[in-house]
Amino acid sequence: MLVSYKWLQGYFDEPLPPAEKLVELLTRYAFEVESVEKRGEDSVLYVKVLPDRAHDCLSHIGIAKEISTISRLPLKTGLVSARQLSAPESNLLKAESEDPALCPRFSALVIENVEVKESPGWLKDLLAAIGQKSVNNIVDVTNYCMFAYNQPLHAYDLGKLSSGEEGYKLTARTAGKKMKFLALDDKEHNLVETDLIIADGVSGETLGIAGIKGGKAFQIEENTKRIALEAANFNPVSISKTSRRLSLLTDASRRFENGISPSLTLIGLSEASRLILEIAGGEKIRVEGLCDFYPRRANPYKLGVSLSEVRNWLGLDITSAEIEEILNRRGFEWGLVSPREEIVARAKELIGVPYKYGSSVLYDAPKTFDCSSFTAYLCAQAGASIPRMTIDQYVWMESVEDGEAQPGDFVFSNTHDLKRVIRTESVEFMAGTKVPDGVDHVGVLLGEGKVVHATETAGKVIKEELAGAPRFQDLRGFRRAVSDGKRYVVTVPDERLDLRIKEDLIEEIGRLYGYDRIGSRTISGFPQEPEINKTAYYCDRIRDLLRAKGCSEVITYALRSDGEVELENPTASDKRFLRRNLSDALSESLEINVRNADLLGLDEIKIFEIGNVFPKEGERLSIALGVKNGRGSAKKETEEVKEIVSMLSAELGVEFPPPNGAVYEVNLGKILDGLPAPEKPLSYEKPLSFSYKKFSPYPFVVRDIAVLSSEEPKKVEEFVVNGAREAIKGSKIDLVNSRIFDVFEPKEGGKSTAVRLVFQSSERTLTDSEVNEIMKKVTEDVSEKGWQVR
Amino acid sequence: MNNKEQVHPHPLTQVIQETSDIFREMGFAVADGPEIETEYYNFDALNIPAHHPARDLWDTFWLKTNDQQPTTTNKDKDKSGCQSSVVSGELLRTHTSPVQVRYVETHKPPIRIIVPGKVYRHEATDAAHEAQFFQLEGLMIEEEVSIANLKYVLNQYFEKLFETKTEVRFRPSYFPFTEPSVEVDTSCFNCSGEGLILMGTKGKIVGERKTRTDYKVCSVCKGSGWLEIMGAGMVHPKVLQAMKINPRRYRGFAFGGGIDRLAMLKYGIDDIRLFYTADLRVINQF
Repeated sequence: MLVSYKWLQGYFDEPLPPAEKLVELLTRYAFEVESVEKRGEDSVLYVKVLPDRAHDCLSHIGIAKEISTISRLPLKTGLVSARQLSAPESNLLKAESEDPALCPRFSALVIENVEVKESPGWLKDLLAAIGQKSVNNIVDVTNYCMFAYNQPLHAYDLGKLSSGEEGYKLTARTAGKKMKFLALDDKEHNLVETDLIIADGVSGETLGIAGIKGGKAFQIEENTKRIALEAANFNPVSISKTSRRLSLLTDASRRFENGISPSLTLIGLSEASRLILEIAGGEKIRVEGLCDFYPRRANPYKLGVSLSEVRNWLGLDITSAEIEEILNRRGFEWGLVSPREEIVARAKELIGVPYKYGSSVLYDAPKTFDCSSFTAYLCAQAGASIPRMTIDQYVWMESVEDGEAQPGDFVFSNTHDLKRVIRTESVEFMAGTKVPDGVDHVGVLLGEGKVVHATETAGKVIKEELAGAPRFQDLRGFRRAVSDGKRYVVTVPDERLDLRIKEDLIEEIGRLYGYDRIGSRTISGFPQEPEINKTAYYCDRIRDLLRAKGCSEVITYALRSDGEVELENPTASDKRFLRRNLSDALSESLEINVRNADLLGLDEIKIFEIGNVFPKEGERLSIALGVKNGRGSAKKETEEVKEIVSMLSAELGVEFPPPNGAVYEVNLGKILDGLPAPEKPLSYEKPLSFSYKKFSPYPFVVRDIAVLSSEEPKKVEEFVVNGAREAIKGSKIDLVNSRIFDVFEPKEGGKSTAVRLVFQSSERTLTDSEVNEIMKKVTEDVSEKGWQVR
Repeated sequence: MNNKEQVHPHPLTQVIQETSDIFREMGFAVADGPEIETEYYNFDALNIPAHHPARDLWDTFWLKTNDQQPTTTNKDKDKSGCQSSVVSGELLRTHTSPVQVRYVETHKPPIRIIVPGKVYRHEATDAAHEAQFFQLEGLMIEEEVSIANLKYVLNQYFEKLFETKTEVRFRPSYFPFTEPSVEVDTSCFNCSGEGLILMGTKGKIVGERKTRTDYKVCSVCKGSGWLEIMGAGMVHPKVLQAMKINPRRYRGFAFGGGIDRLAMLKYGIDDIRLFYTADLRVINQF
């Protein structure tokens, strides 16, 4: 999210700390900041808003609130988020949603006598700072409000809509059929039945792809006079599916697919109308009215945590005063409650509330309840988020002995009421946990033998004697929702959809306290010796054995141009398949490496790989090894492979199938099956620390020199190498390898020692003539020494 | 490079072996699992539901199904790396986290494991990115586990791996499978977190600081003094439930990071692709 420093400053009376300081504070307490860029007089911060904060922080106000909390700078009072939009109900326009699950809220505002023109400089500058093109004053305002308050808005030219007897109508509904739609981006998009659209409720015409992109045909133009501003709330999954299928990811779709609070619609419209009245009109401009379709209003979400929970999760001796300071600084509305007392007090207040089966805690409480929405609601007030269903509550709560049950504890029963299913297995919490005798009813204990419960038979929340209560004839026991410690109960601000469980609150407290202030605490010893992973153990054994034989381990690519298991979405055509074996890649790697044998100083290349392969029968562990001779290697490759494999068989005490070539591969998983479980871990020797050296990308040049002398071969090599080093001194040429590759005693006497020298530059390709020049000097040295160059 | 009596394991193997050894001392066992995973283990069980934008954090290779025609086009998936069809697919695991769930399904707490293993990401390769790489996952579940314990364990690990006194720093982060979630930084092992290196030396600033001109910016941490190295946090209660562990009774921490990155830092390798070219000019240095 691009954030303008100037824009942020607008939310504060006092000057903000410099941009660099903001970066430091945000990084430490909230979000990483990828970059800060000067743009004119503004600085633009690229803030990497964490995905769970897309609900509130893909907006300048969200970032401003973070900064205010972190830096303790107060936000300006009377910001729009605190204001209510006061507009009469519109006589011209109705907005509605056919399916509140897909579009829970649809607010729209009609403004008349607008003048569509260029935006004022300040608005263009702010939008330009965050990379947004200015279109016209109306469209710019809708964009501005989205980046300010996180509510996407859309403006329609009302004059282009059809008017019926009741005026104009905007309808959010699914497309219902396949159709083509020309969007504002001048592209035609193929919509399917389930895509959510905004339609002209009178003509049925499609006006826009809901929450993603508006339509070309209804856009604001210069002569537009009367506009409808849409501020709606859409189902995240629906928006995500459509926008991804259409490959149409917009600033609006990004916000909707992450989910935003329905409470934002009026905030967006309020700010938009204020600005439009200011910059888009003459005297006659006016807000005609508002239409707000919002059938199911959610209750504020309550969340609680105790001091000891915060301490235990973070491993930190934080104090109540510190927690309270953070909650206040955050601007949370909160209280400190004794859970069971709170539950009892609230339960008493709610006696008489009507019963309705399937009542929702979020939407229907405290107007109607069923038995478990009643108890879930009570617990929420006491700062415990418990599951919604009776059986899940039963599994979730701690069992309390009959005599120990206290007021504020819960009592469960099986009513044997055949009208409903009586569950014997938990559904959402620890799904599948068995409760063999079944449980379908719950109430709360008031003390003195009284129970309060929402019951269908009475049609409301009632208080009665537990003994003899008809719904509690067959008890399933007493349970406690929360331990007795006091709980901080926070009313979660609407836009903070990320705060839903106590762990979320612990995180909020922890990060604002400062994760860097959490010390480290040792862990206890483990009660038993850790298990030894058999596969890892034997693979490491084999690695050790092969290493002792001079084999190097390679890891090749698992994605190849052919194979038996194909990828749905490969990145390249030569990486379409999962490898069926290791030996194909190993053979290629032998070929490549043998060319460097001289550079590496090796007579032969011996490599192996251990890794998973993917034949069509299924994934399995494999091992492959291969040998390829360089120049002057005497041993047969197949013999060498045979020798290595029989060594493995002997050392591991298991029969490896015999090899028949220079590259060998075997199903390692199968071989491991035949091996016993390891008894004690392999001893591990820490290798010496060292740094990797880059190799030269340029070709190396090999020169051999045979010297006839009476000296020991080692001495001859030393002399030749010194000569070569002398010859390249001061040049950009390196002697990268040297070795004796042949020694024999000719009939005429003396000893012939053949030395191979390998030259390379890290900066360029060597020419023949410059290497010849070096060799000439070496030859001269040898001759001067009285030795003979053969 | 020509000392053939001293062939070492592949640098990644070396880091994995060393890591396993360090964690064994703290009671952690090594666990493993398949590279072809189901959507359930790779995503759903880890609290990453289908159609949730959080799935975008992992660009995924999906396997072609033989018996069913996928209902989405390749193009859709390429763009998002996210399967938007109803076909519940198989995929190449994008992290080693599925092994957490698989392991705990068959083991009871207390649990301490690490999972070093190969993972795949649908992305273009460059010096810092590979479509295949190795990840290190860690998990500890007991009745009393905290962020402070996580700090201790990681601190021990990095000090032993980098063979120097190390500080661990946590910053706010988000992962669907942990709550709270943190980003893990370690102080740079090359400059001891100073961000600067005394000219003409390999390492640490000892004694009094001289003038600025005597130092150069540390090439490992680029002068910040910190290395971003892992993600971690307390295991999300939904993930514990997917593991059949009652979150009312147990807590845990989990961490995960790239082994390739650790090896690159430890050995000063500047291109991740060098691990997979099977080039002995690289490997035989080890």
